[in-house]
Amino acid sequence: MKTNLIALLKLADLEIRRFRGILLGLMALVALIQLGGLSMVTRTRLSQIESQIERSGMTLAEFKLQNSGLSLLELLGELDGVTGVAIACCIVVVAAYTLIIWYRDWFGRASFAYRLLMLPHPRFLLYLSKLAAILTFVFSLFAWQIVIVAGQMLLYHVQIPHQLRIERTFIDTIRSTDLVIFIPVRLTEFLLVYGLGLVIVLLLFTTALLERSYRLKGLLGGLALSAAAFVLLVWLWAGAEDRGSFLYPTELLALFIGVLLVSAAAALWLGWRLLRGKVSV
Amino acid sequence: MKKYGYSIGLAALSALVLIGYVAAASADRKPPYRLTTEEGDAAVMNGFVLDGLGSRLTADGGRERTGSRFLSAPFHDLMEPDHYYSERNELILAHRSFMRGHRMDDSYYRDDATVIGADLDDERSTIDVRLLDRASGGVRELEVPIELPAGTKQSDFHSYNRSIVDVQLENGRIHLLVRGDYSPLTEGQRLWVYEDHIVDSASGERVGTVEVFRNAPETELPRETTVELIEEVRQMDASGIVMLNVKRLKHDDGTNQEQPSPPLLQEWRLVGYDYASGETWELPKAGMDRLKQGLEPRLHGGILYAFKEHIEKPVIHFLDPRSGEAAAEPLPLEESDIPQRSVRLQDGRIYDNFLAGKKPTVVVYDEASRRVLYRGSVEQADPRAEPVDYKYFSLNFYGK
Repeated sequence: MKTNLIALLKLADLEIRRFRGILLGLMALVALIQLGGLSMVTRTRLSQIESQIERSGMTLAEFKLQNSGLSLLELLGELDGVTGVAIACCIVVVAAYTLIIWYRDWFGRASFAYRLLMLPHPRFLLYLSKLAAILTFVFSLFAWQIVIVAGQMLLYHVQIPHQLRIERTFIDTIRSTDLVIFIPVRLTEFLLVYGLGLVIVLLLFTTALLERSYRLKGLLGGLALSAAAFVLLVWLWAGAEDRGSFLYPTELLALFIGVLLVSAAAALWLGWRLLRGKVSV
Repeated sequence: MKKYGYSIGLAALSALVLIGYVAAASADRKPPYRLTTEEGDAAVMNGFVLDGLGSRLTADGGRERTGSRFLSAPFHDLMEPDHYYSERNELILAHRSFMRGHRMDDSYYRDDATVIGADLDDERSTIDVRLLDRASGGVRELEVPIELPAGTKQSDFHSYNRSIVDVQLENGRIHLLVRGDYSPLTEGQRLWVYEDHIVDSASGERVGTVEVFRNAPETELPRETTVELIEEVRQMDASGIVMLNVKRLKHDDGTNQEQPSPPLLQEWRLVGYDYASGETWELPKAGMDRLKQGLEPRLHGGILYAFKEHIEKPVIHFLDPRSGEAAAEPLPLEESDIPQRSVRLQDGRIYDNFLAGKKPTVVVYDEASRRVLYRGSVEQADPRAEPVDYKYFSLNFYGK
């Protein structure tokens, strides 16, 4: 057991290190876009306010009284598009890497997959190590986004004169922006968003392993399995939107969670079976 | 272990940030506002909530966050509680099995003994009626076929041209009020027909059909007749009468394309209908003159209320729906800081939601004595939160 755990740690470390450059690059990119973008938007708005004040001869306090100050949300609202692009970049790169993490072992230098599959411990550890690595990337980017919002609040306090500031708590700031989709403030929302994300990762893993085991037929089978699970989940979600449906929303929620759990279990079981006896180099 | 420093460090730092975030989110679970009772008994606010600034507040001190849902948003059993829809919530909670698959039926009726649901089938030609005996839990189903009214043909453009707008149970008879939008057989535009299909509740046999209203089809294009049902504000409660708000409008003829003028009101009348006797009447001049002062009509407990809601200082007039005469002295409401406000009528009380001294405030009046039963306002519980000054909170009924 202990040997297996150490092997898992070693393999996960290997995977995390392999993605190090890209992860740090993504973190730098989103920080630059979100913090740099906020700074630029703030400067533009402040210069507009200054010229408005100069023209009218008002004080900052009088300006705030008439124009209700300058809130961080207002500034972040102007950045919505670029923030979305930055986050979408992270999602696309991590999603793509969910497949690349398998294929680079096969198509990389010196048939690395062969060496990995010949290691003297259960092959399923390979699966778990790759899953642990992807989860580490996802939650690192999640945590980084929280740090960036804290940085944006700090920047807001540094750049905006206190007479113009509109105070908000940290959580309230996140809650009031579109970021709340990726950084949920509710436990159920977190479990659903990241539970769905986890199942998508597992289904992509299974698709990659089916393709490595049965080539084109496997690929088609994997895609069909993923599509079936996805269609079922979307159907349940849409069913909850339809207020005339036979099942009540809470019942559909239970089914949605059930489908998530069954999909995850099926993907894990299939991955274990394929790695044990089917996958070859 | 040093060898794995990068990976462990990355995971540990991320976990640390996430733990901090979870702690901050948990501490922020309650909204930073509360509804404080200033006067009277908070019990009259049972079932009511104030929604605003991402908060849901109740008079008993309840505070809850709203919004910030994405994936979980549709998975909520209760429908949006505005416009008295919440009474369906009450039905769903009390009769989950009876309401299964029928949450969006056209119309419902409820009294102490019975719940009736009515919906039109897909072809809009048969009314499916379901009766629930509340004591035994037994459910009976009836089918009531309906024909096209005389002198009409199926409208080509409106596939959903019929709906059941009200259901009542009077003297053992089920009244199903159907609104239809048809084309006339002769020349002319849209034809609105309201019919009361009467069914014996014991045998399920049709007793008869009363044509409550039919407009004269307009033959000139810029003219239009609109017909709006004024039903009991508590839609599922028993109500012996309904009224129809009939307006004849002349639209802009399109000569001035840059600045079209608003529609011109050419004729306005209120038509009443008594379910028990089948009698119809027009609201006499005294009542119409009162309404024409820019007021809107509402029906509650057999009284016609006339007031304009979204102004700083409304006055509620109480009219007899048959004679149009004042049924009681008018009630002037307190002045609001902004025109946005809402007035609800329920259980012999008047709920007024407005802004007093910049703060969102609710005042509940006893309709008979005009006494203030309750007065409460929203207060900021955390000085770091967004101030409530001049913020509008909507008053919604969630059901008791």
